[in-house]
Amino acid sequence: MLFNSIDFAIFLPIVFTLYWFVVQKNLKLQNLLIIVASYLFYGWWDYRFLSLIVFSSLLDYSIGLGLSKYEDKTKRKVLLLLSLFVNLGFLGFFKYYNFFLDNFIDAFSLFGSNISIQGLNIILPVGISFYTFQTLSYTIDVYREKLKPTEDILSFLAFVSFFPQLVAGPIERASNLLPQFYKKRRFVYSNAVDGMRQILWGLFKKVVVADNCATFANQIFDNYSEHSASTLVFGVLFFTFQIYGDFSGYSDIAIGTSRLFGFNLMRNFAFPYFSRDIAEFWRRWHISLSTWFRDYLYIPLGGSKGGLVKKIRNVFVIFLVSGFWHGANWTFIVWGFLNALYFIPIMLMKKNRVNTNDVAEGRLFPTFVEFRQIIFTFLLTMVAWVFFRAPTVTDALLYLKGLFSKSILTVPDNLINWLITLAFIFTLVFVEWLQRGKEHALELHDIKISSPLRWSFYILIFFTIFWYGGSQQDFIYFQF
Amino acid sequence: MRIFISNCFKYLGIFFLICLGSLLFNSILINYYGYKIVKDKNVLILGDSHTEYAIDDNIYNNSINLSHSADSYFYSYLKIRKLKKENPQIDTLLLALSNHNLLIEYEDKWLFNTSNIKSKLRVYADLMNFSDFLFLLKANPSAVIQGIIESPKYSIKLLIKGSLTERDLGSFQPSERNSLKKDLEQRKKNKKIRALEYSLIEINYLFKIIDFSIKNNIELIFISTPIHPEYKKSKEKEIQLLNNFYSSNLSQFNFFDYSEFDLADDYFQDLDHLNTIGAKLFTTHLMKEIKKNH
Repeated sequence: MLFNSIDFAIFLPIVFTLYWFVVQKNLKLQNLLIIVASYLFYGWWDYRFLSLIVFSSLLDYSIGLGLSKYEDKTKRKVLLLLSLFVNLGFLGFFKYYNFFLDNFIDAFSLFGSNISIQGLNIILPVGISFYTFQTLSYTIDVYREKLKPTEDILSFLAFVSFFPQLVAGPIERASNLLPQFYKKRRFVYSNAVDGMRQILWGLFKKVVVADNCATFANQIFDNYSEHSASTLVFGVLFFTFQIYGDFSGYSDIAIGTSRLFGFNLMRNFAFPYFSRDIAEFWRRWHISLSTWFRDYLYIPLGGSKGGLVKKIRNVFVIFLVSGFWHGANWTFIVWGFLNALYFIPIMLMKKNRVNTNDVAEGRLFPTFVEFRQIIFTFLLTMVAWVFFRAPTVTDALLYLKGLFSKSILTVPDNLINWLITLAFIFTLVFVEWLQRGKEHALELHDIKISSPLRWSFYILIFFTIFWYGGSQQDFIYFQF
Repeated sequence: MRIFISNCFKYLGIFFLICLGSLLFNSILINYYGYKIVKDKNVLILGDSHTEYAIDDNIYNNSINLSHSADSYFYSYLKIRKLKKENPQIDTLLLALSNHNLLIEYEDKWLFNTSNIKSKLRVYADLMNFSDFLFLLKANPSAVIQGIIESPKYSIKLLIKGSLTERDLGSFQPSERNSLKKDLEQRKKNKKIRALEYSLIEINYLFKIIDFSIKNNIELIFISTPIHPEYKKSKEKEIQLLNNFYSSNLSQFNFFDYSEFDLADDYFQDLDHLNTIGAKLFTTHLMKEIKKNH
């Protein structure tokens, strides 16, 4: 079920009503309702893959209990490895089997031996990368004794399948989300209203900005060889805002929806396109994944401690794995590699933690230096997005080559058709710039605006979503 | 919780009030100026893009062309019903009848397709009675709701344009576009065959137009506008099906079939639509033919 669909617009009020008016007095029933609603939400795409979620959940629940019973290190390690093997095994099979097979065949053909192995027609279960990482965070934390294993199976099943964030995150840590299922939730008016605002802004980003940008980005990327350099620049620009609007929009809707049910999810995006360097960008983009890799991969590898070679190795590992997490294609690996290349000089100069505050804090406008830094970081990410979007590395390189021609100084043919979408991008940037110190762009509780004006603003956004929404597209991150 | 729920309902209430208010506003505006057409125009031309591009009512000066791209017979029926009521002088209806109009594929493409309902509802809502509205609502409720939500946008458009009489009901569209060559190449590559089955709904509305015309003493003339020989060649089975349908159901009415009208490529904008000079030539010829028949 898509957040931007009529199905979800019917589903959400029904679940909300049952949750707060029918089963509100019984915590177990509330959790059971969340499980049923989440399985229904997921099964709307493909009910066959529900068994995979149920299996992973039951396995990690049992492993958690097993870890609490055994004190013997070897047995505990075996249990952890079992969880890693099964969860990553599912992920590897569904997501990477054909990729490895194709590359295996290609590698052999380089040495002159042609082998013929038929690939499998595998459908990637929606959200597998997200819930696999979420459930793994539980077993790893229990193994590390940072978290007590749960005996409450309903809470655990609800934690793994919680519908607002099941298919595209934020990837929650068990230590943050699981305890919220143990306690009775309270309806807090201000949280619910703020949640609704966040949903509204998320829908604007997804339906108005991302879906409209998608149309143009697809047109340009699909026929990049026929376009002028200036058009190609707009193509990347549209994709840059498509992916941001799409994914951060999804996260906003997920977080907002959770707040309606009395849950607090972690922040996933913190206005990343206002970053002054690439390290800041990665602290602000897909925060739940970056911190997951930081805590479960980068730090165990040694992090930024140790010698120069080790430090550089660790940065490459984390960025390459992050790239590969996004998809079984060399383009994502190159995208990760490129980001590692951007990051390493900053790290070596020990400037990766310079920009930890909000840009232009307490000021309306950035300084010239800040502005220059923002633009430079933005351009670097745009170049990397070319690899993320292009179907192959060769296409990405040809696209980039196409940017370096005299036609960069020409006016793109379709500029007039893009004006409305460019106006929406401008609105997004403008509103988010004004609100960059907040959790999300429509956090308004400390701003004094009269009710009629505030309501007019909501209604204006609501109408804009309906009037100017692009053709309905799946969320990009579903494929990951 | 109570305040939250009540605010949600208030918000939705205001939202839908604005939508329904603008539907009403549009309707009042349109009715203020009415659907009156100049008294000496007694010929009404209805249909889809074929007649929209082919018949120039500036040349055929006792006619008014209200054809509109992708208009199904349902919308043509709504138009004739309202127009005749306000313009009793209408005594002739030229109605487009081409190989594609009755095909089942077009029932979905033109009648129940979401984007079509959305774009047509805001313009044609005023022509509908409750049962017409219910007919669309049953077929595609989400599209109808979206169409209602779009109506304030149309109100704003009407106000900004300042042309409050603008009804967008349809008109002759002169076209300088030239994509004949491209279409001919595409036709060679894409030989998709459409299902040779007619839509019962479209047939039903065609017969409603016929009944209405008979009851109101309107002479009904079917017209098939010129198409390119290559197009005709690829649609022979559809044309045959239409001819059979005409002979068995509509033969009491005149059918000006110009699907074989001999025109050079310069007169076409694409395979099945005329350009401005094509329309000029064809309209002049059509006027003569109609006069000859009267």
